[in-house]
This record gives sequence, C-alpha cells and structure tokens, in this order.
Amino acid sequence: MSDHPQDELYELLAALGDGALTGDQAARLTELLRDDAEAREAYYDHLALEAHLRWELRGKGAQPIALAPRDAEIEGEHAGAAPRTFSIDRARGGRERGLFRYAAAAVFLLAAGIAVVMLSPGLRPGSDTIANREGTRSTTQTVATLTEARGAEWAPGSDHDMFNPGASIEAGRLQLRAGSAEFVMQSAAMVTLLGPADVEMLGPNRCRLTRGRVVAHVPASAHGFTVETPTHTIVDLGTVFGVNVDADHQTRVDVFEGRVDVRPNGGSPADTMHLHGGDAYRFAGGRAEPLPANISPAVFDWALAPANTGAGLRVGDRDDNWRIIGPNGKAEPAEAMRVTDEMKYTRGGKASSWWIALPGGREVKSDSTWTFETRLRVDRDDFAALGLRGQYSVDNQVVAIRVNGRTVKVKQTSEPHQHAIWQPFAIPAGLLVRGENVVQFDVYNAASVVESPVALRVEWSLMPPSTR
Amino acid sequence: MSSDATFRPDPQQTAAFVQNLTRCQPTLYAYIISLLPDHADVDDVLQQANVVLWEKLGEFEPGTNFDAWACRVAYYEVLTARKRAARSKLRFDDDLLGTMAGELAERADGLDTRRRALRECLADVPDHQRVLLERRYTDNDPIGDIAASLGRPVKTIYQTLYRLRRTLLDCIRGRIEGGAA
Repeated sequence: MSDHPQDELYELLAALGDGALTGDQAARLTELLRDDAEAREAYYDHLALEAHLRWELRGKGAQPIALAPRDAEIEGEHAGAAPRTFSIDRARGGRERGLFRYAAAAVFLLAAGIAVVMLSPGLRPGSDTIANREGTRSTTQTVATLTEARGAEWAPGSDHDMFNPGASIEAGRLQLRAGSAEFVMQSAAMVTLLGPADVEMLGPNRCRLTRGRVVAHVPASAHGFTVETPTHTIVDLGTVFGVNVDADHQTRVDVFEGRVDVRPNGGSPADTMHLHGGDAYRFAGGRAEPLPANISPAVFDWALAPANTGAGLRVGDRDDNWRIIGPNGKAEPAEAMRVTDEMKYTRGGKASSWWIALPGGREVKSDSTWTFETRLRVDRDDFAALGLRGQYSVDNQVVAIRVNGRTVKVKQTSEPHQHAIWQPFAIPAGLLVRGENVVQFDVYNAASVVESPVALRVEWSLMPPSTR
Repeated sequence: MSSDATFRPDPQQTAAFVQNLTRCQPTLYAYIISLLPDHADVDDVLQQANVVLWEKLGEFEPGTNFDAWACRVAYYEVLTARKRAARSKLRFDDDLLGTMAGELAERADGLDTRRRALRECLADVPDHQRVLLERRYTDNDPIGDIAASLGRPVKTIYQTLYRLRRTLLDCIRGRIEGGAA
C-alpha cells in the first residue's frame, strides 16, 4: 500500500481524534471505510490506539483519592493559612471507570439480581462462611478478582503483576499506600478499598481491615460478607456499607442500604448492634457514637465532606476551614478559632464539631452581622443533584445561609436561646457547582447594651440524590 | 427475585467470568469507540454493556471465545446508543456498521496484544512527549489549552500528536511482528 492514501486517512483520523472533523471530512472518511478494507484495517488500528491510550493513561499523575481530613492532620498536610478543602482530584475530564460505577451500582444490583442471587450457593448465611475463614485459608486460595485500580500504589515488595485488573487475588495481606482498588470477591460481593489501607483477605467472603476504608456492595448471594477490624466485626446482611479504620484503630461504620450487624471482638451475641440504612457509628473505647449518616457510598468513598466547625481541634486552635467576615461584610476576613464550650452552649451533638468564634472569643458590638464562611470542593459529575443538610447552633441567630452568593431560605425559630439548641437546615440541590463552592452563614449579634461574642457550630454532610 | 430453578453457576465459574469481563474491558472499550467514534460518552455504553454481560453470565459457554462473545453482546448496546446519538457527524450506515462490527469482533483477540505492545512503546516515549500525551489522554485537555499553556502554536501541537501517534502505531506493529517472528 502506498503511503499517500494512508496519509489522507491519518489526517482524517487525527481530526476525528481531536474533535475537529468537519462534515465533509466525515463523509470522506465514511466513503474510505466503506470501499476499502485496508482503510478499515488502518482505522481499527488507529481507534484501538486512541482507546488504549485513554485506557492506559487515565488517572496517571493525578492523586485519585484525597486524604480524609483526619489523615491530612496526621500527615501534616495543612496548607498554610488557606482554607483547607476536601476534594477528590480525579483526572480532569477522566470519568471514573470501574467495572460498575457507583452511579451504575444500584442499576447493576437490580439488573444483575437475577444472575447474582444464586451465584454462590455455598456462601449463604450460616453455611460455610466461617469454614472459609477458619478451615480453608491457605496461600494458594483465590478469594477475589481485582477489577479496577485507580492511582493504586502498593507497598514495596508487592508483586505488581498481581495488581493488573483481572488478576486473581489470593488470601493474604494487601497494603495499599494510595489510590483505590476494586475487587469482586468470589462470593460476588463488590469491595472497594481506599488507601492508605491495610487489609488481609481471609476468604471468599471475608477480610480483615486494620487501616483504611472499604466500601462493600453486597448482593443477596453474598450475605454474610464480613469485615473484621481491630475492635469490631461487621457482618453484612445484604447491603451497601462502608467501614473506616483510622490510625487509632477506631472503627467507623456507615450503612447506606440494608442492614449490618456489628459486634465487638470478643463480645457476646448480646453485644451485637444492628445497624440499618442511614445509620453511621464510630466505635471507640467501648462506646458507640452515632454520626450524621446521610452520605452516600460515593461520598464515603471520596472523603468528600463539608467541614464541621472546629472538627478535630483543641480549644484555641485555628480552624483553617472557616473564616469570619464582618461586621456587615465591611472588614477584612478574620481567622476562626475553636472556643471553649460554655455551659450555656450546646454540648455533645451528633458529630465531632465544636464552637468557633473570632480569635480569643473576642466580643463584638451589638446589632451587627458576621459572616462565617467555608469552602467546599465538589468534583463529581452529579454535583447538580447534590444538596447539603445538617444542624447548627448559634449565638445569637443565623439570619441567612448563602451558597455561591445565592441565599437559601432559613427556617427561623422563635426559640430565643439558639445557642442552646440544634437547628436543622437543608440546602437544596441545584446550588452547588463543580469545583469550589463558597458557603456562608450570616450570624447576627443581637441588639444589646454590651458587646458580646458571636459564635457558630455546624455539623453537616452532603445529601446525595438518592436520599432527597 | 428469582426461583431456585434459576441458573446457578458455581463460584469458580463466576470468578472466571469476572476475570474475563475485567480483562476484556479495554478491548470492549476499543470496540465501542471504533463503532461510535464520535460518541460523547463511550464509558456509559461500556457500563451498560457490562451490566448486560453480567446478566448474561449463564449464557456464556466456557471454552468459547469470551472477547468475541462480549463484543457481540456489546454490539446491541452500540446500536441503542447510536439511535440516541442521531446528530453525530460521523455516523456509519447499518451495512457499514455491521461489516465493521463483524471485523472488529474477529480482531478482538489481538487487541490485548496491541495494548500490551503499546504499554511497552509508551515506556520509550521521551518525557516531554509523554507530558503531551498525558495532557491529551489523561486530562482530556483541549488542544488549544495545551498549546496556550505551552506557549506553542495549536498547529504544532496537532502535528506533534499526529507524529507521536504514528510513531506509536509503527512501534506497536514492530513489536507484534517481532513477537510473532
């Protein structure tokens, strides 16, 4: 074949690949493909190259999973005085690609139900899941198939050939330093592991997580899928759930759908807690602390969460996620600081949040409005369908909440002591944008004869489309 | 959901199926792109094909060619997606699409070899060109943006990418022929 006709074809293909194909060129390309088998061969090679380049290069160079806030603190990743935002920096323009995306997971579970439900007769609850764990563990037992790895960095010494999608995973320890990996267990449970993570595959339906996060989609056939953590054992009863074990070996369990049982290791059956869809708990020091639970598996997965005020801070610490502007928007923004809980302020609460105020709890003049501002990064395709909801406590009153400059209606209460109660709020879908979002709470310091503090406490989470 | 009369694959069969399905993802991706070169979201078509393939788990006969079978199943998803994307500039008529689908399914087996060859060829791409490829294929940056950020004319970027792709095609061909010899 002479080079000349191929040159024309390659130019057409280049235009196609670069999205610059004109109508005339499209007609010409179609004509060449229809009439010339060699042109089709060249076309197939070229398109295979395009596809494989996208496939091979996707996710390269991008850190796919941002560290959870707690991890960021541990690893000293505070970014100066800039507000810290939590993001998943997926490859820009690169769509998340797994065998079954989360967006498709619900569809998948439904659509595949008929095929999946009978998959593993040997792995029904109460049958041989325990036997799998205790009887058949050996180094040659295949327990899962790796179906996807995104920016995965395995610990040194790992056999990297083992970690190409399609690889069989044998019982044993897996250490994921960064990124994520998705497995289909032999029981048909789909498990996403989010680094940094340390997990031991114990059997076809069981793993032990000593650090990091897993999210599991468990079809009916894989009932009994079990995650052990250093302190607890979580047994699935047909569900979607997530488990997070932090550096202090605290276990967090989020149930998104269905039901799981959580039992303290060494505890009796009577100690078993039954968690349902919408529940989230942190288990620490023998206590079970309920958390706000209206997050989706995808949110759990991506560590994407708005910053609770004062989260993880000690009294006097600066809260880098928030700043305070005022009064009445006129002064330069000031730092926000975690302040002590006075007796009259709300205590406890569902999640780890604390009161924040101006540095030193500075008192300000009466009849003024101060804006507490935070930033939230959203890099999800379904950003337009996401809302936020949570609760706040305030001294004296939240008069407005704004998202990217647009005001959200705030339900006002007649309760005069709003610093002593939790006030629920919801930000509807349609206000968040892809990328950085600015959320502001206008806090009014009521008219009074003396100066007094302004302070705010917020705990909230993203509200995925499915829970609206 | 389903009665006990439903097909029951054993766990090994399931594992083998998952492995096949996972392994053939890039092949299916290439297959779909080749038939829908102008389609906005090949990922969605692939996802849908995966769901359907998973449903058809019991229909696959072990020992037969998985990739060719998966391509045939995916073809129906291609046809559905094509109906929805009627405005596409490059839209093959039914005859041509059928011919190409058949030829591509026959080639499906060799695609994984091509992809492995590409991986080796990519290792030899100099860093400055590799950056360009990543901007284009990882970040999906428009050529204009890449040109602007590098301070180079758009045409230069087009030409560099054009040459780079041809070099890679030659390299792939060389490796496959070398491997076959």
